[in-house]
Amino acid sequence: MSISKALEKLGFDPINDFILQDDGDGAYIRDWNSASPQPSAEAIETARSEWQADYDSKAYARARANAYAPIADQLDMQYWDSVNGSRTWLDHIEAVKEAHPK
Amino acid sequence: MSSELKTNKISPATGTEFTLGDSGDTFTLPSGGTLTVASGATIANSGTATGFGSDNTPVFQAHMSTDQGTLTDNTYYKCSINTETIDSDGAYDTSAYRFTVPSGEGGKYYIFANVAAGCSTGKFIYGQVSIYKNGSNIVTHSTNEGDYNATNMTMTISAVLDLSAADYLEMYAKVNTDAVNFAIYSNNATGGATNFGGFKLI
Repeated sequence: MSISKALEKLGFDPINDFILQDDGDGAYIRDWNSASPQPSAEAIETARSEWQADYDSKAYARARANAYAPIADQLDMQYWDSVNGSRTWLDHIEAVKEAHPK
Repeated sequence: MSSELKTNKISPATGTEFTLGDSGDTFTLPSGGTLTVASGATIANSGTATGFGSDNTPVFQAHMSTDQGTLTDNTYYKCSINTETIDSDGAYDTSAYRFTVPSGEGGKYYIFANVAAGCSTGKFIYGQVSIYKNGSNIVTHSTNEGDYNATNMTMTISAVLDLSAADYLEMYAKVNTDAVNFAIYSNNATGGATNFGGFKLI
């Protein structure tokens, strides 16, 4: 479980507001530096679940981002498509989207 | 033969060179005495000089032999630096991953650490490597990935620390990623990518 992501979702900054540590028994809040009160364990868990659901819902987008060809290659595809009237770039984009549907 | 020579100046009888005793002789400046070398004078050593300055020990360096994986993002972990390269005074503990200043060896130490970290499922945002003294963070260095979408990063830190006997140092690291996990890598054949070391300066 990422306490950090939960606290960030609640609006806290990991640089200035808190420091987490794990000594082998799981992560805990070692230092709480924010002027605002430290959220309860329940509030942290709720925020973590929300963050996780949002993260999981975007798995397709992360997979697509990793599957797309580098931008320089895509620009080259688009150039030659415009010269030759081909659809190499469109085929590539469609193939990635089909391979990783929403 | 006199057992004590009292005079205010010894000079060569001829020429400009003067020799004290013979091979094997020992000359002692008693405790409390002072040997002053005046400005502009030179001491030229062609023999063996001992006890001058520091020999820069204790000195230690150790590295990780295996990766530390599946660590939770943005959380400090003690780096499991478990393999010694050098440990002059037996002061590095490969089980507790800590260097302890030996008795009588307090002073100023140069300490360094390198961490090879990465994110297998996300992008590296920033990382921090810290030196803990007696369980408390005393110096931290941050590495910001910027906009390069890197998944791996090497973080380094170095510092001159004023340490006392029995003080102990440990190395901690954390990574903030856009996912939830990171790893600390030993990373190469000799496992030297993530390491921790230092030596006494004075």
